[in-house]
Amino acid sequence: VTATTQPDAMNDAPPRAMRNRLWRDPLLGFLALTVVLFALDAAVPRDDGRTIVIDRATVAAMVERNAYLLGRPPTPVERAALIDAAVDHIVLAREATALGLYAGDPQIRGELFERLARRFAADVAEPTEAEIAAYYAARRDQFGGRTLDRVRGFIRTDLWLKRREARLAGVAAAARDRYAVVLTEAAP
Amino acid sequence: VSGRLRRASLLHFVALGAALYVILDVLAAPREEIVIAVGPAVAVREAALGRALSAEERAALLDRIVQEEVLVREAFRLGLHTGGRIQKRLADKMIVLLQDDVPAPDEAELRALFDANLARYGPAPPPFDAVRGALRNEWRFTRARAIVDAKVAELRRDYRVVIEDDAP
Repeated sequence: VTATTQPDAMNDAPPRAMRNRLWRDPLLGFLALTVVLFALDAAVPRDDGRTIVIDRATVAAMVERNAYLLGRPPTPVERAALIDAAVDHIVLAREATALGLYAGDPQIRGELFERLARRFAADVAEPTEAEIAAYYAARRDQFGGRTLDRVRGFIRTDLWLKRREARLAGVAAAARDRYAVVLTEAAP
Repeated sequence: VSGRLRRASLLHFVALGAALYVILDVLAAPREEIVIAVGPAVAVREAALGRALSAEERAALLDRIVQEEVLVREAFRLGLHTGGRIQKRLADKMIVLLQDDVPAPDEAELRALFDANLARYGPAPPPFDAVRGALRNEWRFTRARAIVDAKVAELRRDYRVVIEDDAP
């Protein structure tokens, strides 16, 4: 037994030493780190703007709306056509975005501000009764003799909107450095 | 000691790489340029006031305009422009833009459309001149539809479409 195992042990010794040296080599560590970084980079899904996903919830909503309009569930052909039309819609919208067709459109801008507000200012607190009273006291002349009870709704809305605007102004200020703004007198 | 130094070198290398990444990716990221024509907005405000804006009023107005534009860009950057009414509006604007390219039909094309569809009018077809307007609209609609369909087909080739549908 000894005679057969001894040569193997001797043959193992040099590779083990080499392996140990290799494991300690910073180059190997660097290569391993690079592989890990590449793997992580590849694993992270990136939105290149060229992928359109129609998820289950969207399909379900379209089918439900269509079933309501038809008074019956859509046939498989109708269902496929619905999904196809939705893809067409997204493609057209993306092309319109790429062409800047949103610029200067008050409907789109208004909806964008609403969506920003929902995202960043959904938790804006309602004004308190003391704040409403202070607002009224400071502007009593402007209300033409109307009582606080009659203008309470207006004051509440105005204060709340101002808070929301202030929150969005903060969002804009934080994002300002991402943009190089050029002001011109005439249209570019 | 030499092993420790070598390990330290690797650490330094990684730290330097991370620092470069931060510098290049965050600090040196190109800023998106926004060009805003402020003349029209200033003119509208001055017309409303019936006088020229003071320097302070002008500065406040420009601040407001820049803030709004930054918010719009931020909304797009955050992907808030997808879906719902905005998507519909954008798609509609694109369709209108594409339909601008539809040429007006000439007399021969309208006559050909009329002749090809005589059966729809029954046994006593109206005179051609009586339906010319309707035929022109039909011709333009058909052409517009074809232009939009062709453009959509062309654009769709650039997209990867993933549909998650459990239906049979």
